[in-house]
Amino acid sequence: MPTFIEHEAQAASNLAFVDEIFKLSDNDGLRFPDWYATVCFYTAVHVIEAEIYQMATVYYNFNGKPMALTGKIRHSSDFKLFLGRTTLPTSPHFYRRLVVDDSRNGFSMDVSAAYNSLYEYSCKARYECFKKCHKNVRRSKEALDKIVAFHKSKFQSALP
Amino acid sequence: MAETQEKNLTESEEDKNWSVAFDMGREMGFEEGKEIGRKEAFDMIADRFFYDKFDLSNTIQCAETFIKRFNESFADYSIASARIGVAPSSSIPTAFFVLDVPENISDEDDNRIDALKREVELSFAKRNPGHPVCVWSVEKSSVDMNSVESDFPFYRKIV
Repeated sequence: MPTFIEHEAQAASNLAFVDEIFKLSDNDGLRFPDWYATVCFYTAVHVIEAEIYQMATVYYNFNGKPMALTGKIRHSSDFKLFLGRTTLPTSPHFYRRLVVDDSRNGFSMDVSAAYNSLYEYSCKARYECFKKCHKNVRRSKEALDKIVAFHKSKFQSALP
Repeated sequence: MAETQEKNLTESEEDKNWSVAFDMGREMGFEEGKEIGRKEAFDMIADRFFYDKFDLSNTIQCAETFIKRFNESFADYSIASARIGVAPSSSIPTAFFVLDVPENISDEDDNRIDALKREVELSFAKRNPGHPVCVWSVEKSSVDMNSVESDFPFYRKIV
């Protein structure tokens, strides 16, 4: 299980890659806008996982009931060990979303919206194959900046 | 008279909410009898593709909310296709829209559409905590419909 420091290190590495992709342009603009959005999303994933790693208590809802797990969740993938319903999804993306959307975990609406936007942009490349999604480049960066700024306001962070 | 009108309106709204499942039921060969087709289709879709009936119903309502608010806010644009399914990488129930907007849509309108999606997502997350829903859209001019139809097989016939 990666630690807070390891999640941050991966996020920092991804941020450097985001900057590198941004330099790769041709006459149409950025050469790999779809991958830009995807790397931004996975950077956000590591930032959020770093936050989850530090949470003493993680709040979520199950069957409409507010729940809390103390000292048990260090990563979104830990949830499936503590929830009894077998038909629930196994993907950590599902549980990360539950955490980010729950205001009791301290994420602002802005941060939730930014995370949800990045998830959408990263997945949209699958459905938009006839043109480069340049619009999502600016938006992806803005959304990622919000998440990183939020994180840095809470923790002594190694992120640039 | 007023009471009859109100009742009709309610029934029509309910029909709209269930139309995704109903249309799918008809296509799967269930009989035209509305009640049977609707119920069987709804149960089957909920069992096979969603976690439970609540998630399916929640996603349909979320889609309907987006459709209503999009049509109110963007009179010059339209929704070419409204679909539901689950996001492949996370299994989060998803309302998916193919939008008929100009290729040179202004940044301002594009941002407003983005904001509307997030607003609907978060309002549903608040209203039904523990049941996340994604609201996604792509533009008609660039869409790969094969992938869309495969991931979001249930659609509303008339948007």
